Amino acid sequence: MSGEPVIKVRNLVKRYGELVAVNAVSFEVAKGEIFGLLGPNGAGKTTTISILSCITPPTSGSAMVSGIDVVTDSLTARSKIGVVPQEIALYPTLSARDNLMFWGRMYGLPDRTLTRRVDELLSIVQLSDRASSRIDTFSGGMKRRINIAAGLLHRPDVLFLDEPTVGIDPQTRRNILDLIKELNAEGLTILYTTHYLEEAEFLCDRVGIMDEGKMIAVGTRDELTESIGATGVIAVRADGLNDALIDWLAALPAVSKVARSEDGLTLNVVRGADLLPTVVEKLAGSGVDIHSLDVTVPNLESVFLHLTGRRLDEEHDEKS
Amino acid sequence: MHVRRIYSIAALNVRVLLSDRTALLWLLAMPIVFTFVSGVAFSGGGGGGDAPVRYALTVANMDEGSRGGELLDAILRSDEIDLLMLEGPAADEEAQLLVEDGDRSAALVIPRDYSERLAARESVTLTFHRNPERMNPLVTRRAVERVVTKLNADELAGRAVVSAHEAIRGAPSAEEELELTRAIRAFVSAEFAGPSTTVAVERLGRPAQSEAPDMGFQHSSPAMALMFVLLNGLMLSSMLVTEKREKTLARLLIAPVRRSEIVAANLAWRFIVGTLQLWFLIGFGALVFRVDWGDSMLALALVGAAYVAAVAGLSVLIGSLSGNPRRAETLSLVLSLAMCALGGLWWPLEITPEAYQTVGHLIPTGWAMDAMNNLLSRGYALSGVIPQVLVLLGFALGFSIAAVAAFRYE
Repeated sequence: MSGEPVIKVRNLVKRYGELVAVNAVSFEVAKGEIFGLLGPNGAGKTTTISILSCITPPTSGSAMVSGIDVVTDSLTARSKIGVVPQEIALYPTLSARDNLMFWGRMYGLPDRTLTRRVDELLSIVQLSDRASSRIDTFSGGMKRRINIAAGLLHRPDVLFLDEPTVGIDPQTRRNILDLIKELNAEGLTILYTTHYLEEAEFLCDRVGIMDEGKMIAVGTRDELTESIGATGVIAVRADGLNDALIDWLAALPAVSKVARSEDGLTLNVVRGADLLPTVVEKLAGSGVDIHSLDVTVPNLESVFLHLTGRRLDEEHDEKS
Repeated sequence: MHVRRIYSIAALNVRVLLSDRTALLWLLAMPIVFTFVSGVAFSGGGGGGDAPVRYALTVANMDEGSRGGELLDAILRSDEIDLLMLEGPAADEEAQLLVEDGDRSAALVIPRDYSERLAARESVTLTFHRNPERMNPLVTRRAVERVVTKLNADELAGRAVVSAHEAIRGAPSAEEELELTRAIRAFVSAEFAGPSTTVAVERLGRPAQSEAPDMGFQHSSPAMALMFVLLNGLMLSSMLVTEKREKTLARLLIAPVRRSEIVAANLAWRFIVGTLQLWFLIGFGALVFRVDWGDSMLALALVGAAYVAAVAGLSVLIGSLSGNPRRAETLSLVLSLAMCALGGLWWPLEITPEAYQTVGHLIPTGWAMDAMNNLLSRGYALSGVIPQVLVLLGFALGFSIAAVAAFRYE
């Protein structure tokens, strides 16, 4: 992480009686970064967002957004934050435009400025043609897009997205993830909570993994996988392999193990995708006839499994 | 407090409410239907026409003279009572047993020496048996008492004339006394028909063609207006709960909006809707049902405003305390109906026991109905409703403070 952090969280604790929902969580998010909070349901992600959004006071610890304490100066902090809640927090019997105008007024935007901003956002979320339609006539994906637009009206310094793709179809999810990428490309700092590891891997520059209220790891995907020594596997099916080639491959720093198989070999590697061009070039240059290459990359699932002993999707499977 | 934000939240809620046709039905149409039905029911102008209602009275006339028969003739002439005569030497005992056993609700017994004691210028008592477990038509007892009062006047006048004769000319002969008594009875009857002093009621300040207000609507219009303002006002509590459930309330609190602004906006829009509804019903009552809303529009406005403010405060309080829209609606419905019954909106508090009236004045409806009665029925103006307005404002303040304290976003 580089630059002055937009979000700075220190030893954040939230207790509900005996239950510790957030337990001494600390992390920072830099300007322009997409930071993911990844964890199963009940990990404390939404509570953390609620504290940062100034609607739940922490039991102890501190949280700053754009240098403003969210506890002691919550009114100012709230003007710097855009929040997209997990639920479609819109008025279903009002039109998309009326909803956005209302939420804009809550941020004190003058009507003339607000009208322009609403037009702009309707265009960004590609719903200009449905501006006058009631929200309850929209599909789930369209509602999600308006839900996001409502969090952007006042041009916040940072956007909190709390599991914005729950319960929507893959195509709509993809559209929303692309929209978030576009917003980030324009410089918006994003704090994104999810329990879908593929979303975290696709979107986030860095990820904080939460479990049972604690932040158990923070870093980029590669940093996290490397931190636990996780390796990827490159499986090569080929003719013409020889011992000299295998020794050469085994001597590469990123390769931890080489094993011969019936129709080729397998390499245990760190950052398999990065190593792949080197391997292919060497084999091809040595006259090896490559039939297929299969790369298995370590991911955040591996990290979560390593740190907690459970798969991230176990609880969802059990619940579903 | 940011007035524009309060206005925006209030206006949005009104728009959301108005987009619900069912809510409009309950706000405007149903109160009129209930007022009409209740007004017609209590107006006395139904299918019975102008025929007076007659009640039955069981009678045992044991009198051995003629005066008992004269008394019964006078009762029959009142046109309110039909007599169910018991015959025989033990008719008085039979009457007592019938009432004791609950077979008859009431019975009148004229004693054997009724005529004799009257002739001897002695007091005599008629017995009116009634069974407390049976409904006794009050009108039968009143009719008997009215007739007895007139006969007492006859008797008194007769004795006065005879006494005067004794003092001036000495004791009259039997024929003279009979003649005097007849004459005085005729005189008293004539006087009762055309008494020396009467009260003439003249209506001033109204157009000649104006019809008198219908007493049924005169009672039902204010009661139904108060009832539906309360019912709808409290049912609106569920909108706040729905906002919690759909997380729009949480989103409001994420925006730079103060909690006090949200509560103020929720109070404001409920007050506006309640006031508009109340004045719609007042206007409709005046124009269509010809209800006379009293002499002081200012007093009516103050009573209405204080009552609607109390209802708005209670509505926000229920919304703040509830976590489930259906639970809020159920609580609102139960509270509304209880407050209507206890506050005298369905029947006058004056006819209820003292403890009931005390309970009725622990809630806003009792005070609001009191104020309405003072304005519409008892002829009071502003000074006559100041205590009620102050108490209602106290309710409004108390409910609003409790609502702020109980306000949660989820």
